[in-house]
Amino acid sequence: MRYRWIVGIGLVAVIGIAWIGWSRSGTLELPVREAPQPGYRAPDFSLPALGEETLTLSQLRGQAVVLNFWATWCPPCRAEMPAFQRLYARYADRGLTVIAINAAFSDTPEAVADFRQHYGLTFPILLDASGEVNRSYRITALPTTFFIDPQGMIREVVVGGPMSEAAIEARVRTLLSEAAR
Amino acid sequence: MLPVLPIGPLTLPTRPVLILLGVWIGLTLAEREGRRRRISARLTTDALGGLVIGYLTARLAALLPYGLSSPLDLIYFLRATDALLAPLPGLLTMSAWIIWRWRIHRIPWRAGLDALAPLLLTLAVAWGLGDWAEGLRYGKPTTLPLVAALGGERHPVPLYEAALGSLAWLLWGRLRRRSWAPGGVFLLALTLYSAVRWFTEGFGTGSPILQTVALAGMLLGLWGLSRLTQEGSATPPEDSSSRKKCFPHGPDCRWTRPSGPAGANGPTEPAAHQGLARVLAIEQPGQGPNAAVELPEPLDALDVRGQIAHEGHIEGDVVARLGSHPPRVKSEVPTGDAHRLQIPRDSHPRHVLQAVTTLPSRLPFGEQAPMASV
Repeated sequence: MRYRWIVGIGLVAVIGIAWIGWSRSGTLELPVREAPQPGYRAPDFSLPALGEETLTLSQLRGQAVVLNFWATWCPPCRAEMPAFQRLYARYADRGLTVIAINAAFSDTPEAVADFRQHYGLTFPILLDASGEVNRSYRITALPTTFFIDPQGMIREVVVGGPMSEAAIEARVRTLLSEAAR
Repeated sequence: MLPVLPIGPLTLPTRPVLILLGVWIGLTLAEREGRRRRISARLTTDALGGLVIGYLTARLAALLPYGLSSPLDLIYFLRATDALLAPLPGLLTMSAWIIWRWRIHRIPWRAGLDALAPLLLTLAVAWGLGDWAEGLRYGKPTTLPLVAALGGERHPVPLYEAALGSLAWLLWGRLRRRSWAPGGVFLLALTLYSAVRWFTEGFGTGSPILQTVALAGMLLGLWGLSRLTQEGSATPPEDSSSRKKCFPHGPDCRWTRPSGPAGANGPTEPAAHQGLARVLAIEQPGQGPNAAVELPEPLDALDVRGQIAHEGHIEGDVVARLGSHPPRVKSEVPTGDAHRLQIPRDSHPRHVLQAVTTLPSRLPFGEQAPMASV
């Protein structure tokens, strides 16, 4: 009986190691298709920035991007915005870009401008007046935040909020450390 | 992918809802298992406490190194929709909490873990479904038709985990009916769960650490099961002072000292039970094998396990189930010498003793054992 168990466990160990080795062999080529979910390239877009030129996402290739969908009437969005500003100020020179896409189809440019002034936001705020970008990113709840690596791949999506500054910073540091490698 | 559930004016985050549902179902099943094993109802409250403490620790350990920017952060840290966790500190704290609480509530740890086995398997399924709904842990690219039909190009690892976890649940449900020593049912669940993770993580893109840990868990589970099986067939220790032998499986063995020979002055003095019945095998030279069972009160549906010994050698296993009337042999297990009895729920312990002590006549050894009286 004991012999059977030993043989059985040994067999499981050998098969187990073989499966780990085989499943990790070969080079991993992830698809480059655009989709608003982790592991895919972030859908590209161009939107007018509040008081600035139009900004295109693909122009930011090479930088870690935090893409935040928000509205002024959304309490958790308001709560987490100062954290984004502090992190942007802290990590911008290391390659971080924060982009806030306002749901302008349900907001007003005046409210957005007041909001920006009130919180002293310096990162780009884009106005999605038609809601097209919200649709292409399949936004179902605000806030929703996408963490995009320097290759333009979505690494994580966090639906809902507010996120603590620490939670955002943990992800930002991961993105930046991978970019540095 | 369905990260949120829009229900009227409410928007519920799918992943936490599924995980909470899994916790609820798992704890309900664990409570039922605990009742079957006559374990204190504190089992589930302690487990729930462990889960909460473990989650809080995992969150804080993941986020505190980045500091607090305001006291409000402490509230934001606990947002259930955020999947950022440090699993190891969470698991360690949860285990420490449960061990501490079980010691206070005198819950036997092996039987307690057995009762928690359905919680582990249910959580595995719920977690997999939750991660899939959230769009987490997508794996390697694939052209599998099934994956394409689901609208994807990459292995949905959490969905595989949920599907295989459900199969593991069903398999566990069948295998657990066998007579396992305390701890065996949990080890079985651990082995099956680890096997699922070991296999499904092979389709993922993360580091192989998790897969290796899962393989280690599988081997640990198998090793534990082999140990328990060998414990069950090992030669029992002998108490030279009383010529009595105690041969139950596992740690629920309790020595009792009769005031006289079994069958004359009573088989054993009832000892304080800890939730499980214990079968004591008593060897008496010249009288053949005899057996008595130490019962908890009140009688309820539960299994009693023990072994019949003769001249110092184990001759067979006894598996008695308390729960029906009249006492009768329900079935004979074809492998080994195990017999299954059905003994009434409201019976006097005498019935149980009679049922158990008539077993030797059905075993291919020895002579009819004398009836023990209570």
